[in-house]
Amino acid sequence: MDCWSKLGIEPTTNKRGIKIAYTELLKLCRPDEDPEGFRQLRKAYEDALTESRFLKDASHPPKQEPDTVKEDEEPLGNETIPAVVSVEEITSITVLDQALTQLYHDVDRRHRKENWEALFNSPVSFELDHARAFEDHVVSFVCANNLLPDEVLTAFALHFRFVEEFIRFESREYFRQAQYLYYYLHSGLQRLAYPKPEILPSDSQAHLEFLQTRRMVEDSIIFRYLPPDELLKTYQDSIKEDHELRLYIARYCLGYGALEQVHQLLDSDKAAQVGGDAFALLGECFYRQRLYKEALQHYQHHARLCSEIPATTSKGIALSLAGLGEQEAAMELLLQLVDQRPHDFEVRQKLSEIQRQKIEELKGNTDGEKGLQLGQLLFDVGLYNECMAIIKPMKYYLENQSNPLLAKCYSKLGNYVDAGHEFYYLIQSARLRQENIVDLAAEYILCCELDLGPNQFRKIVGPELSKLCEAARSNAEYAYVVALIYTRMPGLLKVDRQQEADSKAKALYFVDLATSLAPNNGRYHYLRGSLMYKANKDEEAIKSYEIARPLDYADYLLNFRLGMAYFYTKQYDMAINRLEFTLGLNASPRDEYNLASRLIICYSKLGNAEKTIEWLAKIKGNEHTKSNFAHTPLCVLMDNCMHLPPSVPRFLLELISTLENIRELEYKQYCDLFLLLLKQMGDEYDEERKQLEHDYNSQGKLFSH
Amino acid sequence: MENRQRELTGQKLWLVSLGSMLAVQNGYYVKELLLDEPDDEARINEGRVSLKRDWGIHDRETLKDSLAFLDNGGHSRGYMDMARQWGHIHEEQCEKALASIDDETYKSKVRLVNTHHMALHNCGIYAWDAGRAAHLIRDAWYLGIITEEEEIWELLLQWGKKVQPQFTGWDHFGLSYAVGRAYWAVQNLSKPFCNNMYTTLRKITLDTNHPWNQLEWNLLLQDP
Repeated sequence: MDCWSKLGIEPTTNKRGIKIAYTELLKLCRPDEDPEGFRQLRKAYEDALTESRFLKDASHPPKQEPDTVKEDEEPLGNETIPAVVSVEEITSITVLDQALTQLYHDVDRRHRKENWEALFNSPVSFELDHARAFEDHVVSFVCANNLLPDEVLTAFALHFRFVEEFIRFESREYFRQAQYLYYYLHSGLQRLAYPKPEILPSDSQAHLEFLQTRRMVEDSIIFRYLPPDELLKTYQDSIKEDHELRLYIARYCLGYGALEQVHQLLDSDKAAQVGGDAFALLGECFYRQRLYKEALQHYQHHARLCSEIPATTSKGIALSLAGLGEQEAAMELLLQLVDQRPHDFEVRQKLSEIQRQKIEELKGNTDGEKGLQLGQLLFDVGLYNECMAIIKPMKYYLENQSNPLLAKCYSKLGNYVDAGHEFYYLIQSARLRQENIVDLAAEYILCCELDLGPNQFRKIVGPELSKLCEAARSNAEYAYVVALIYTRMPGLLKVDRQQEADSKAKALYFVDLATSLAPNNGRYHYLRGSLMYKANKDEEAIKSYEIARPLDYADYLLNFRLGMAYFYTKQYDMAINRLEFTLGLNASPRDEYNLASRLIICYSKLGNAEKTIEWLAKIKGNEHTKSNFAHTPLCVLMDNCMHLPPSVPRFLLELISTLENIRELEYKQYCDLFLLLLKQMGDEYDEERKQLEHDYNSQGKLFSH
Repeated sequence: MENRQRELTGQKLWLVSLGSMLAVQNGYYVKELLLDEPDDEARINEGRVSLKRDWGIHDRETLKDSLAFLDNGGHSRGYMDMARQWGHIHEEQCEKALASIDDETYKSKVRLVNTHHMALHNCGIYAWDAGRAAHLIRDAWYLGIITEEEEIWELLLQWGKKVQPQFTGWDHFGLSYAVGRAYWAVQNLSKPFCNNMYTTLRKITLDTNHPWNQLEWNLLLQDP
């Protein structure tokens, strides 16, 4: 059956006719229901378009075919976006927008397609006279917001028949509107490694990008409906040259457990052509087949090709090593990975499994090297008491080896006094042996950071400080330790202002050194952020805290300071984000007040009256409001409220009138602003204003004592 | 009642062990059908209150409703939905895509799903739902919501038969449970949070006397 028979039309040069026939048939074989049919139909359509060009050339058609002219002139744009939107429509769209926004922000509901379908079928959507306006509104909405699940995406695609719309939008004039659609679908699917197209560029390159995106989206849709072997058949020609596509399909196959197809796509030669990531993928494939030796080879090959080994590859190497029974090597890597990837329970489990085996093997050894190994293992798995039981009798053995395991156990169990003693003995005996004790001193600082007394500082840390500083110049961890020492030094020792300033400068220098030696270490950036914040360098504090944030997203102090730093640097959106988050972390009533008052200012600066009032209402009940109002940004607040709708100053006025100590406020500017506020309120507060003006003018005592 | 409390073996111990994670976490018995001392009225009353508060269970009907919820997808369904969207994506690409999202909870969930896709691509967090179901059944026995012991074993066996083919071993089951618990409680994936989520599983992994380290996962489950 040729392409024309398949499309059910006579051979024609009329592209529009071909498209209409294709669109009609598309309804009968949608990619989700009949992927093979869809593929054949698509092929017939593309063949027909190619043949139509040949027919056109052969028949020397007139310069402007009536149909072509009609197509080009047909106002697809007007179909898409109505030229005139009635007030009624706007209302409907507004209602729809609210419904969409509500659903989008409901985290539990937005991931279910039923909820979106219900919205599409709700009376709101039928109220719109113009179906295209509704569709475009949905498209632009999802473009402007974050990603939605595949299932929801599919519901959109099927409801609005986006696949068919490819044809409607193919005309070059309208590709800009279409780009929204494709951009949305593409970003939503997140299937391919291609770069995102720019939205709405206006040159021919943009059109090319558009066509490329379209192909990717079509590919993505087909990917979701074709089983791996069918996919391979469909793309067997395309992947010959397109390595990225080959890798992508291989990844897709791996995801669905189609390991055989992965090997078909990526044998060693192909993997070499495709590039580094292919080896990691093959490693994963072999690992799943329990061919650990091959898995290890491929992962290691991938590691050699990378300038910085990705964590996933390290994980692959560690798991493969474990599979091969190389427990020591696997354990070493897994310990590092637990630090790098705390959320990877698979890594933790494998580590626990190996540690259990090792503990079982070593059980019964209570002295010597094996006893120490057992103690170290028990410490690593968090069994500190069990570890103590083994290593306490080995105290002198540990001292001779300068091994701080016992001290670290005390520290982990919260006994910093005994930890300090242990470190002291260790360091003293190491000194007697004339050993380098920089490591021990650094370890001590890290262990007992929270509970370091002045005496311990003088006896243990002080004498080693110069050596630590020297070592810090090439070692990030030492630089961090020295920065910690200088941070805490003014609090521990009696120092004058000059010494305090010197300590701060040195702390900043060493923490900068630590972050430059190890730019991604969250702990270093946490300390740097805190030093910068205290030095009022908000921009720098933000930079460091943002890097440190993944270390502990819920860290109260970090979020508090980050919010404040954003506030002081006038990045109000970001400030709101952090300040609101901090308020959810059990803030004290005092902090609650401080955070909320900043939020009020942020919202008022952004002109959001509704939120400003919401937060004003919240602080109204706070016990700190009365006592703190004189010292808080009331003045700023009043100033900012002037540009907001009357509801805000009115609310603020009411709030102020409930404060008993308002007449105790000392600053004259408050009075001026207060009167200005009353003037803005108009007649409603006329009497009150006159009275205040009278008091203010005649006595000059208003609000002052 | 005296005969009710006894140490189990074989199939019965295997079935009870499906709820081990919650039992260990709450300090309940792990080798018996009863969760705790049968005469501890205070504990029984407390159990009734919490079962009603947390699950809305106060009789057989409400128990069956909750079990049906777990059976029909529970939290596993949402996880698998997310896995379909995010599971196959390479971690680096996933991070790039997440950069444009503000919702920290959603991001944390995606990271969990993406990281564990290789290990849990077939079963998801089904162990989290199944483990809780097994615990609820034991709880129902302890609190007297179900009084026929045969019925308890029948219910546990139904779950056991569904669970067994989905996992390769107790470790696999445990991993799915731990990820499920983290997925349910996730607000962020900080190290302390993850350590806390993994504590129970590590306890079990390291305890050589725990049934998981003594019983074969592929034990032949037979009808009584």
